[in-house]
Amino acid sequence: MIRTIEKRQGFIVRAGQNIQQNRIPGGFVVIDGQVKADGMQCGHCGGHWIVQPGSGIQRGFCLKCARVTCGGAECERECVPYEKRLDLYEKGLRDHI
Amino acid sequence: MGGSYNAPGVTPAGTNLTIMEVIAATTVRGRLSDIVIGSKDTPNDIATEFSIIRGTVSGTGTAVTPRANDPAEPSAQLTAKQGTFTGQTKTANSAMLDFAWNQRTTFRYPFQPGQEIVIPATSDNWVGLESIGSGSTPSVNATLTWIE
Repeated sequence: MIRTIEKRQGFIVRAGQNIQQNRIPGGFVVIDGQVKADGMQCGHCGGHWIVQPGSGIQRGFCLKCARVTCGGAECERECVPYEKRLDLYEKGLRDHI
Repeated sequence: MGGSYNAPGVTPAGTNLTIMEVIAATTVRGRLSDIVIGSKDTPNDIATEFSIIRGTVSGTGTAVTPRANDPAEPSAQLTAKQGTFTGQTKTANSAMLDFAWNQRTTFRYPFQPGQEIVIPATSDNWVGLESIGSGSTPSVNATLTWIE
């Protein structure tokens, strides 16, 4: 059973679990009905990853669009937000999202 | 805003095998909002790695009729298929989510509203659940939910 999630000024507090983040998760990993981990979404490619605290995996933060990024080379190199990528792809101006 | 739809499928896990596709409509973008994975087989400790990937050409599979979560909604514009697939074109390095699953468990990944994986309104494009590798070939019962 997923516990009640309270959204308050950009913080997510999960009642009963005392977990606080300063970013809204992109999704949740639910195993046999229990929330086990959070996901985050890259603001550029739209890809998700499962947050693994202490893993040492380097992610990024784009100072232009103020979104977290996945750490991938293309996403770190330039700021093309996810919605813009979709628009360009649908118009045939970009060969991949 | 359109409705919410889901499509169930079952395909054995394997190496670089697509379990299910959700295929685009040119009239509306789809937004993959939930993934549920389980197995109808006898519980076993078999590990399978999955990815959510993109493709540009849908393969020949078995059509699955999408079901509206609200019966009052019109029929879905996006379509769905389950494996086994032939003739697909998968987009390289397009994993949108990568995770592992133990066959004993039920795995679910609900996307936060506004942070779903978008299926572009481009003909024959698709987003799918891909079995990257598995310790065996357990049946993967998957349900993909999307918003149009």
